[in-house]
Amino acid sequence: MSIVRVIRAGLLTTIQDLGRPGFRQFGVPTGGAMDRFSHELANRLVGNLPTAATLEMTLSGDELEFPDSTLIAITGGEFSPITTNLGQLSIPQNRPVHVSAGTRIRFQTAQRGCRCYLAAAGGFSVPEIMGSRSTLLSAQLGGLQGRALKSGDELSVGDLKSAGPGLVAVKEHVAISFPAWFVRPLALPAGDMVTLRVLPGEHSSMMSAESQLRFRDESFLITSQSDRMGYRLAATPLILENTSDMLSEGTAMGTVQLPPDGRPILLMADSAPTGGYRRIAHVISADLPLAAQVRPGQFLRFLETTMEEARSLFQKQRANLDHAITMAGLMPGVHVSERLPEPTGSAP
Amino acid sequence: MMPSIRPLGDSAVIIQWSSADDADISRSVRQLTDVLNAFGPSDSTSRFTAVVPAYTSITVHFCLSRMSFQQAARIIEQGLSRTEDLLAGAPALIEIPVCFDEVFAPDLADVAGRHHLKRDEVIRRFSDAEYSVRMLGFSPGFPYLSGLPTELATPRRSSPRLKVPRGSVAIGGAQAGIYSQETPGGWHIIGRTPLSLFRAELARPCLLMAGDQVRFVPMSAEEFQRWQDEQ
Repeated sequence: MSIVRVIRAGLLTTIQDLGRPGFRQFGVPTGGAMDRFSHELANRLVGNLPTAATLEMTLSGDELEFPDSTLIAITGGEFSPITTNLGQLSIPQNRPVHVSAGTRIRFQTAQRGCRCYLAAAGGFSVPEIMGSRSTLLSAQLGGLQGRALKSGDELSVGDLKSAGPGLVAVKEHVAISFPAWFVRPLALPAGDMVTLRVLPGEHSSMMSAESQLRFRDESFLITSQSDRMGYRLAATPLILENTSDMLSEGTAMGTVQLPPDGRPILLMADSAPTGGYRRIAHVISADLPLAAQVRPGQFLRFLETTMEEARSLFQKQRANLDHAITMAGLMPGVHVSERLPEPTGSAP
Repeated sequence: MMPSIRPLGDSAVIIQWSSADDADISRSVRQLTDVLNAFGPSDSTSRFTAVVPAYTSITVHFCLSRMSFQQAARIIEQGLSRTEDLLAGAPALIEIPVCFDEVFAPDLADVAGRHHLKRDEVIRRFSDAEYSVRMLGFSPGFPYLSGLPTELATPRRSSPRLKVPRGSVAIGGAQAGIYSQETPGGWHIIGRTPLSLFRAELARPCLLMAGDQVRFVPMSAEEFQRWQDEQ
């Protein structure tokens, strides 16, 4: 058991895993990592199972201290992590990185994307609540006391027994060691206009013909009222022709709801399991990681696709991840404690 | 009566009933939820990741790398054919003690005034009725209850409260509900129960489940206090 110390907390950093889907019937949101692709990639790069808990940082990252040598991986948004106590070394993303004891790492402001993930071999260790370690801020449960990280927090990392590729040749007397290769990451938003592919919602035909066209052709501003629960989008209001009340029904991450004010809401990881607004579209699973990487001030466009295409895109994404991990020779559950030498004295 | 089975995005299915008979739908939702929840262990190919009953629908979520919409729909159809052979058992009846004392019931006088009833009469009618849990939602463990006597139906407050205490028993439109956690809320608060509706640390975290029957039993402020002291 090693620890990670929070020297200075970022804007919103929470412990996340794959959430608690089985508890939706109790009114509990699934939660978990917003960008599940990057969460899983980070885990697999350090030999963890996809279910291990990672840190999810938002827009501006933390400064962390690693009192013990630790194998980590950083994926998702580009937060330009650097070491701060041993010269300013940039830490590369999308590959395993061995951090020697005493290293401090500062994650800066996101240059691209919105959320970055930090995995540590063994996984961040907090008690499981309803089968998950993920932080659910709205109910103040899971993760670290149900809240975001604060300066001064100490996080436990599980033992290396469940972890570890032997691919990092650890150099003595340096803060960080990493291989020359890396795994192809998720494509981050390239500009301020991001296209998400959608399937039609059950109620899309309840919009006026003109609004249906506008939903397809216009771009929607992601407003500052956007968080892990969902993104409120702004544009000329879309008109519902059928404004009768409906009974609450199930929703999913990716569902685009249209409340009576005509401004769509894209539901994200912490959204309630049910909702009483009309469902006009659903972002496909393969594009949800990208949706997690857009930020307020950017624009979304919606491009309709088919069910078959949606599934094949998702399967392709999974296959690419599996292939990259296999090619790198990374397997979960390999013992490596003896392969990672203990640092000799404190690093210079 | 057969429900419709339609996709909800690429990895969920919504099963919807339409019928004039509310009790009929409620029973169908309950039966199919039980059957789908009982399908196979978690590594089985017929297992869904979540089964979410609501008023007149069930939403099931599946893992897109394990099955397609068509496969999910087939499993649901098998489930439906099984429910046809099942006789409806009596749902569980759960009694919820409620203190209607003024300190716990800031809106009781207002509700009584609107319906030209005395406070005691509102309490009597509210407690005589039997309710059915149609779904859990809004916040973890919050039960949406049907069965409110129509003469007690009260439109939501025009401005919601920022904090409604945990355990508050409330009326919102034609429905009743119990705030399972301290949250904002716009329903009329007419009492409070000392029971915990949601305890995250338990394997079955909710006191109530969709399909359960509920009755409210009035308790005095002293009894409420004693109950809380014991917990």
